[in-house]
Amino acid sequence: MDTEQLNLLIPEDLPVQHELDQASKEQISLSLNLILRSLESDFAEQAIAQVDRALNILGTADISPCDSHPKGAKKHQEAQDYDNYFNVVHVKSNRPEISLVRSILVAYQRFILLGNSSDLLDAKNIKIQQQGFTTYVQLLSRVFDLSLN
Amino acid sequence: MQKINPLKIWQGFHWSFFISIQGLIISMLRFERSITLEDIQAAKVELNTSAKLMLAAAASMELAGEFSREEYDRYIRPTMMPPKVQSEDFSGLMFWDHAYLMVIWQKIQPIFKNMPQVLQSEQNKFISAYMVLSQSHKQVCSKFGGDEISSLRGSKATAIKTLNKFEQNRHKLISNL
Repeated sequence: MDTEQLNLLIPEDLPVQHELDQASKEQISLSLNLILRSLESDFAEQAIAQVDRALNILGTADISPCDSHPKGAKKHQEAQDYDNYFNVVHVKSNRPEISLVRSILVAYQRFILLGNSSDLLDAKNIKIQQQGFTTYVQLLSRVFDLSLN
Repeated sequence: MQKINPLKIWQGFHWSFFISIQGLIISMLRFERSITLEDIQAAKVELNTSAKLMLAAAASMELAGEFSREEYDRYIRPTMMPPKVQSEDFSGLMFWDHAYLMVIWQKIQPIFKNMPQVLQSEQNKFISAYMVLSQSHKQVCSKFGGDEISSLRGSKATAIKTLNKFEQNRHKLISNL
């Protein structure tokens, strides 16, 4: 299923080093491993299926749209204007690890769908962006101290 | 395969770009932390990660612009002006995460200026990746008439001149010159 809105953690809440309990470690590891498997898939349908599986395993967190900006009301209004245009909502979350990985999955899902809808898109750039997703997953394995397959 | 709606391309690949920028924020903060802890090996890993995420951001920028000038003028540019948006100066500078990343670069500028010799190669790769990103942005902008028309921000300077200025300023932040 294609998600219409991208929820992003506010940048101030992005985890740099975040210890997880064992259950969360397993949940996040499974999801990140599924992203890696999806990136290796030759077929979009397979890739999408793995993303859907990862989203189910991840579940959801309690999120709320951020109602202020550290730089004040004007900046908040501007940020919201920009976000609205791109169907983005910046959120606060009680489980930042879940919200962060969800955001990658949702953006990646959209990326797969777009890539699969046209063979006119630059293949080299598609490959570089795929490598970007891989790099981000590897980064999060360090942030959450996980060993991925 | 049928042609995709340009607005879907524009918006969808911007999502990939946003994710790359968030990754870049995390890796840059981890790089700063590594330098503070004098963990050179970790600093290398994070600076290399930052470079790769910057290249991904460049790729998604170009992908976001994969349609014609005519399609941009007809379907995209009008949607970035009032009344479709609130701001007269609607532009990527309004993206919360991008602004936050620039604050980080300002903050760690002393690290870039005094980079340990052993990290010079990684810094050079990082700067090269930034130049690729800047070039991609200018390429897309130019494709859509950015060297003829004023920036979305409404200043008299053309969009390309504005981006050149940004490139100069940001290059200063991340280089050791």
